[in-house]
Amino acid sequence: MERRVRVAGGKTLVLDVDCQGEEVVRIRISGDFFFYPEEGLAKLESFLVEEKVWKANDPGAIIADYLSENDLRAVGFGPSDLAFLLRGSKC
Amino acid sequence: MLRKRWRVLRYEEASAAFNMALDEAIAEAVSFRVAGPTMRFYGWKPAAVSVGRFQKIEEVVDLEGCKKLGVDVVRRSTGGGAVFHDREITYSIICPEDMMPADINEAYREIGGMIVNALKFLGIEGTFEPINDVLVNGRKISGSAQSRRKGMFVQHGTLIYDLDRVKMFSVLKVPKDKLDSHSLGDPAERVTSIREQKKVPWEYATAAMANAFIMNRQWYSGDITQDELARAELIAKTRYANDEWTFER
Repeated sequence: MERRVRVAGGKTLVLDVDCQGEEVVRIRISGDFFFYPEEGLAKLESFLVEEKVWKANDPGAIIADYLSENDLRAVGFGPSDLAFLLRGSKC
Repeated sequence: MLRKRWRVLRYEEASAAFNMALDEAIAEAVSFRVAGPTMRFYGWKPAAVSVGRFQKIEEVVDLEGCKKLGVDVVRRSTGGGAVFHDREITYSIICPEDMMPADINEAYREIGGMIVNALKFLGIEGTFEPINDVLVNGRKISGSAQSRRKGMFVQHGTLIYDLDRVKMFSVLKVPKDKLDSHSLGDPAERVTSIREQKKVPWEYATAAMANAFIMNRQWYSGDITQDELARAELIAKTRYANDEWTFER
């Protein structure tokens, strides 16, 4: 399942959710944004799956906390953009 | 203070994989303190498309078109969008992170300002457009991508000298959401070049770029070391020319 949003400022953010049965097994984030350090994006993708962040009341706050705690920085999208794509993810 | 003296590497052309690998090899050398902060100017032979680290390659590159036209394809280690590199001046700035603004956007602005100055030297008025572009009359003439890793700062970017729009859009795909979001309907009309703005010779353009970058800085004209070259060749082979890396997404 692919969801995408054109973020204010012009960058594209795409979310791909892979399912096995009714379970989300992988999330891939892609687009023309920047992420520092670059290797951190894979960690964020794993975190989203492990914590089932899409089920949270405030996914944006959880993502923002994770980025801050792990010294990760996204440029071109914000936690709320990712939360918007994640919200209500279902297999 | 020697640490703040910039090594400036003269314009050279190379393959896409080698160009990307050399930035990385230089960053390693700078981080190991065997090289000082470095500015590099280069071109692409053959012409190439580079895609951003996080882009889905098939969404933004016409791979068949690239094959037909002999255009290389490489995935950068930096984020950002797909770029067609043909008749352009590409630059890299590689230095310890503490030599650049801590704020990412501020660093883009500082280097964007250097490109605006290069254009000014040529009599062209450009403006920096956040996050990472320089525009002339609303059209993109330069884009950049920055990386910060293990205390090292790397920013590379382009200044388009001349444009072959047909070739450019035979190898680049523009996703529909990008098309919809611009007031200028035709993507080919959203880019411009130095030559379109002013008929200046190539040598003037490269000199303007170099002068804008070294302005108010201590610098010397240097060379790539044999160690950097050997390391770049290895990195090119194992990463940037490797399909596993290129087709990662």
